[in-house]
Amino acid sequence: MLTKIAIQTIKTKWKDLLILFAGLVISTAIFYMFSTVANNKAFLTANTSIKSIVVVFIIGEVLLGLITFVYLNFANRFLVQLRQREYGLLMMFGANKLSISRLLFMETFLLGLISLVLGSFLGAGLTAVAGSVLQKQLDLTLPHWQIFNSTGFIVTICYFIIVFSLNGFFNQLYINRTDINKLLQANQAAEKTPKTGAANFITGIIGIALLILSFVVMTQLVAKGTMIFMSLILAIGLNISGTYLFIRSSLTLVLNLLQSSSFANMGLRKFTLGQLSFRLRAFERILTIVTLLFALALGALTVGRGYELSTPTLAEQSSPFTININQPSKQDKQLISQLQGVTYTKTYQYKQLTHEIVWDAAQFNRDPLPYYKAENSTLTAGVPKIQFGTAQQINKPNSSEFLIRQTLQNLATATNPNHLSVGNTVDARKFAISTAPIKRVTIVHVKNMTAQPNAQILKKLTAAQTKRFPTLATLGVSGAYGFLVISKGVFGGLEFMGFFLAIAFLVMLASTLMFKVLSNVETDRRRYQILAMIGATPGQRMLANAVEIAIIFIVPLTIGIIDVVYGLPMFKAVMVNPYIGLTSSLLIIVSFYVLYYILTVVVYQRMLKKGDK
Amino acid sequence: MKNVIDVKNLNLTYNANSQKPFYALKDVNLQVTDGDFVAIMGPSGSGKSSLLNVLASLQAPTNGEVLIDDQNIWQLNANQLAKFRGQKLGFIFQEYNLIESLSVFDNIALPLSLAKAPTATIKAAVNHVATLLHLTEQLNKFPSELSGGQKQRVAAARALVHQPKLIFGDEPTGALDSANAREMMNYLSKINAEQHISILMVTHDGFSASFANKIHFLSDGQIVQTLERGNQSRETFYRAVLDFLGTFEE
Ligand SMILES: Nc1ncnc2c1ncn2[C@@H]1O[C@H](COP(=O)(O)OP(=O)(O)O)[C@@H](O)[C@H]1O
Ligand SMILES: [Mg+2]
Repeated sequence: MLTKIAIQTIKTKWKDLLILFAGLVISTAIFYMFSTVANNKAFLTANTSIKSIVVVFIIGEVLLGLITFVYLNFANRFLVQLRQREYGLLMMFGANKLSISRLLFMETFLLGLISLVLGSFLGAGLTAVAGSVLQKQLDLTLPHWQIFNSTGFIVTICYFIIVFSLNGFFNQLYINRTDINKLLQANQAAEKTPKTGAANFITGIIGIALLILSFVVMTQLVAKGTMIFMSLILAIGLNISGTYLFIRSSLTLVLNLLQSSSFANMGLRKFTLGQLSFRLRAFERILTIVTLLFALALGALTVGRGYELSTPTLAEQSSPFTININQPSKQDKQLISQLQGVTYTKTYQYKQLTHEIVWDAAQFNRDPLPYYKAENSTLTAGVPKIQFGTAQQINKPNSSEFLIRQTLQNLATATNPNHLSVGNTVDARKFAISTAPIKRVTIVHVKNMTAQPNAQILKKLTAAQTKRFPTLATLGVSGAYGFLVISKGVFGGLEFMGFFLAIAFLVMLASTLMFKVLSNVETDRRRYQILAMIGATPGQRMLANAVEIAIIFIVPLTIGIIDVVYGLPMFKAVMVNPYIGLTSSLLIIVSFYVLYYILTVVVYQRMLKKGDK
Repeated sequence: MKNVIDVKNLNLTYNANSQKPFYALKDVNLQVTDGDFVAIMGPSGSGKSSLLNVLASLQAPTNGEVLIDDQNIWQLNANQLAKFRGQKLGFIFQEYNLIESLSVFDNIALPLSLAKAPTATIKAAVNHVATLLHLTEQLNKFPSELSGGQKQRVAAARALVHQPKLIFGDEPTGALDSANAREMMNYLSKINAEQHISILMVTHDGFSASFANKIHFLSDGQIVQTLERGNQSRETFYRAVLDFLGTFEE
């Protein structure tokens, strides 16, 4: 009998169960992904220069734990709703409460266990794919990268076993406390009537105040490094509670206002507003975590993009030439000729004496040496214009030209292991007199060193130089490209983590929101049939539905963007300009989000129609 | 007299292309004169809901003609059908079919909002039908805060508010206890008599049916008998219905 009913449930509700199951598996996978990185201390410390990175990730894990908890809790209630009618029927036929509640506990636990196993595999797969694709895309090789971390795995297992046990006990309690009649009326009263009145007004105001306060803490305390962990936790706490109250009450205030205005009287507007004020109450927790996930995804991507975009700029600022090739070989020359978007190529001759390097002055007059003017510019100012100086300027630079000496100094590094203690002389006569053999150095500047084929060619040139001049292995090949390689070693880890986490948070967001929205199809199907009866055209119904879902999507989008705008200053300690990656990240995430919205609406309307005659 | 409903040779077959087609309606012919109150009775599974759904343009027939207010409804496209329903028809179903996310007022107002009526007109019309159905105290509540009888009155008010030509009812008293059922039927009679709105109602319950002027009996998808109330009192007519059902079921 029990198995018969169980099979019947699976048969009739397999779609709901599938959505539920997919949601559980994805949340496990994301938790696994995050834990694998967060608990890989060797990876975190080796790839970032930030001391507190481990603590930041622990805070992150707690936050993700909270988010996942809300999600699992919701999934659990969904499961109970699916099953409780059957349980009510069983009890009516005489099954005792104890065995039923045990059965529900087992079901919850088993479902959790299966999703834990599948989710871990999916998580490892996602970690592997995202890890290798990103490292390849960003041209990084990160030491200590793992797709399985035993501590992370244990944390994942413990977390889910605890949460599913809690859910199981909660369900047991629920069945024991609820009488059969209530169980049988499973699908009713799932939605709460919206709140109005003074209490709601006050919580609405408090919600806005808490949100603003969280922004103040972020920009005034965390960003300035005041009691950084305490204020970070405070900011997160204020932000979460503020978002929750905002969605719960502040938005209801707006909806109430709209509903009582004459704006609402046209067509299906009132219906949509009514739906929303009911939905927001039912969605308050889920939309809060979706907002957090949106902000986390956008924030992570912005930081990752920030490093990706700013390292080439920093590198350009470091040197007026891209790469410097000493004693270029035939192959080197061949490679140089393949570079694209070349601004200039210059070759200079020098002679190496014991304590100095001598340059022919005439060649600098024929082909002046590039340098950057020393301005009191900050690093955020972008790349300065390249200047060119003659022998006269090299020998007697004025106050704004002194960096020209640095260019000269960097030219002969490769052939001269003691280059720092050696003087550089620019003198035509001295050069002519010396009997030392003539050496050559070529410098090249390209407009874009990160695009192909340039990146590939520069990599080969660097490898060839390093092979020929072993001192360069520690010094690095001078020029902007060499600087870029070093910065990638320093910032690449953070860049990678930004992108990696953005993917994880986005997947979690997608699964959460889709799951929640689709769980309403059953309730809505009837309502849309009623509308059809009353005379709403198919177009009007589709539009009402699309608008309703759009507004549910827009809420986390808006709050999430504001969160990020005010949250980014917190990264000032580790980034020159945290906002540099914002525009492109917004573009990426918002387009993803819009596509995702369209997909949700299409799926939703298909499911709505399925039930129609 | 003019006919508000004119059905000719109506057939409805479920699973027509399958191994076991099911003939739910067989050559049904039916006329309802303008302003009449007609009930269709029959046991469960006889095809009452199917017939009502086809007449109410909620479900397409396999073949046959359905004229509502001289309009062949199955020649209209989806948008025209929706508009037609919105203007000419009202519905009351067994499960109330109220929208839980709207207040009672907004539920009743919905057909008028859809028809883009001005706010003042909507208010007046809703208040008018709310008074008629004794719902003025309930207008600001949500459906979940109402009793079954009240919910069905709201459904009736919504069916009535835009002054349709015709109200369809599918077991409108099916979920009500006898006191509420009697009250509901009194309201429907009143609507029919005072607002001159035709009513076609299907029910398996003889008591509810006895409020109509005419009862068609449906069996296995065919109309097998028709009783007319004429000048009889409702009680006498009810007894006649019960007598007939006695012979009908044997
Ligand atoms: N969508 C459908 N597909 C197949 N058979 C149906 C469908 N809807 C109703 N039926 C069948 O048609 C018959 C008439 O149903 P219905 O009109 O609901 O009867 P009533 O309302 O008189 O109880 C029933 O035997 C029912 O099983
Ligand atoms: Mg029926």
